[in-house]
Amino acid sequence: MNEKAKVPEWMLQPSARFPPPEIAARRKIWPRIRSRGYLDKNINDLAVIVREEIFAEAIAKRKGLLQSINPGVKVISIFLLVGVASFLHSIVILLAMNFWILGLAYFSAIDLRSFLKRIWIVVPLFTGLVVLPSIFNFVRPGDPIIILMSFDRQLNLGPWVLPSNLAITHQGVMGALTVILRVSTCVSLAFLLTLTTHWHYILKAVEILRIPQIFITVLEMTYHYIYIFTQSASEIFLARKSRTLGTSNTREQQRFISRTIGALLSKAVNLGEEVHTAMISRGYTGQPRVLVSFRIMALDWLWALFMILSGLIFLWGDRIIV
Amino acid sequence: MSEKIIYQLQNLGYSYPSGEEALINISLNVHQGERLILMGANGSGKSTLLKLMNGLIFPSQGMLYAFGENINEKNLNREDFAYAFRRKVGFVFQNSDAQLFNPTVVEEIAFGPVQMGLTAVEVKQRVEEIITLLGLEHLRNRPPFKLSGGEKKKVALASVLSINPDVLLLDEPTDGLDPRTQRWLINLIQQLNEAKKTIIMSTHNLEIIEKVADRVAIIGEDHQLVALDSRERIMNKKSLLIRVNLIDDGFTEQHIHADTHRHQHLHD
Repeated sequence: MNEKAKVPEWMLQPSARFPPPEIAARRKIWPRIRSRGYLDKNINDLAVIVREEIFAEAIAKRKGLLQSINPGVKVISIFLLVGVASFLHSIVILLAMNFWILGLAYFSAIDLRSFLKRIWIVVPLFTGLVVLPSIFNFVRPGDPIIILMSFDRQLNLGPWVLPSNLAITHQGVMGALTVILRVSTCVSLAFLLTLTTHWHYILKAVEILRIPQIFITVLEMTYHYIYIFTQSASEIFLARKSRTLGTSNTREQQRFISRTIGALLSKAVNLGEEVHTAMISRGYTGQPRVLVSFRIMALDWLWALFMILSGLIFLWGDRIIV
Repeated sequence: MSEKIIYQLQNLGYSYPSGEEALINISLNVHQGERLILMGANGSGKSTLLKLMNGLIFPSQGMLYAFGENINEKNLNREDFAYAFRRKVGFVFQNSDAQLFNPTVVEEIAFGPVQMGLTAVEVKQRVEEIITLLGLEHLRNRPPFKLSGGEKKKVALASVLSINPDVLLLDEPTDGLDPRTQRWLINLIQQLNEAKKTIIMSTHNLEIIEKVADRVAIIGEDHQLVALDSRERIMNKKSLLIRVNLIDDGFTEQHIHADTHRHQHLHD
């Protein structure tokens, strides 16, 4: 700071009157409650959810069926069932498996409503979009259920010949449903594992599967990075809130996000590097070490047996029904 | 104070990848059991020096020896070397948020000992002892990011002390602490020093210098070592302290004389 520089005149004046006179006059009128803005809803809630749900590992701390299974056994058995799910063709069996997973979630003290929401909002949105074209006969020929459009003749597009009707086909819909259900089964299983297991235990358990060290380190750093990222995001958000005068509309808030996203990234990268050095300083060598003895108990054997049997039953059912 | 030298810095220099110099030509020795305070204005390079001494970054010029060993990238890439060095030297970061990354306080404190490969029983015992020592019982299962600034600092200290390092590097440890927690920290540092720990600490806090320092090293705004002397001699050189921007002309220093009386006066 320039020692000789004087404080400007305006800075010596008291700032705005508080409460402002017009508000003081209107005090008796019920204040208008503004709805929370775009930013408030998005950034801050995201940060809170990430911290409370992922990092506090609230569900993993509860007492439940999956929480009491050895992480190593749990990881292997769930990977096994993911394998089984990707072999299934029958929609009935896939549905049955989804219900079976819901049962496991219920006995693991997971709130079923939020569990279902997590899966059935994300999966149809992403997988649904991917498989959407395949329900039409242009992409996958088959028996039409609904004809959407009729052309008077076949269309020739270079080497492709398009049929004279645009229709949704039976085969296409069944195929799409199978893919969506298969994905939802796998995602449910993955959620089941990550919700009921501490992250560090998962990493340690993944080591059993002989996944190379570098991937584990990257995963571990990603985990810490996401945490720092949301922390920085909510700090930037709060700092902005404290300097926001008056109201700002959604468009302005969206502009704010696009402008600050770069600053946020570099902030988070810096802090991420600092966390990494703090880890190294305390002896981290890239090898996940956790304070837990992965001793296999009778319950774990029972669980492994149960999972193998369930997998076999699903595979057998799939054979009979298809 | 034992005469055994544990840190030897010879013409040490550090430049950022951009070429900007953070430290220039620093030479000093640190003795075992000593309490050395690094002083310097903001941006003079104190934190960089501490990171160099912890082997987190490596000098661009000169040599850095700890316990007679060369602290360079090649040596620290050796697992056995890094293992021994990390056990010897603990670093409390200025930013507690950088240091706290585990889901609970207990796991935070256990992180170091677990990395060191201690058995579960040893780790648990250590964690419990540190929790009792620092009075963290009520925070045991709380996530560190939800703690207050002072609590975070305590947990960060606990997470380093659980490794039981011989040398403690503290980067502005009293930064943002309330007076009671500051006093608590000063007492703890004194106790640790009585237990033969070497303390190397950066600070602006004149009270902590008064109570803790054996020697003071001053790094100037030109990133060079300006002075290295006993606490008494440094604190009496007002012109030096003004020159390196640690006090200014309007400064009246509050001395606390052996807890018998307090008064304010100016040094010349």
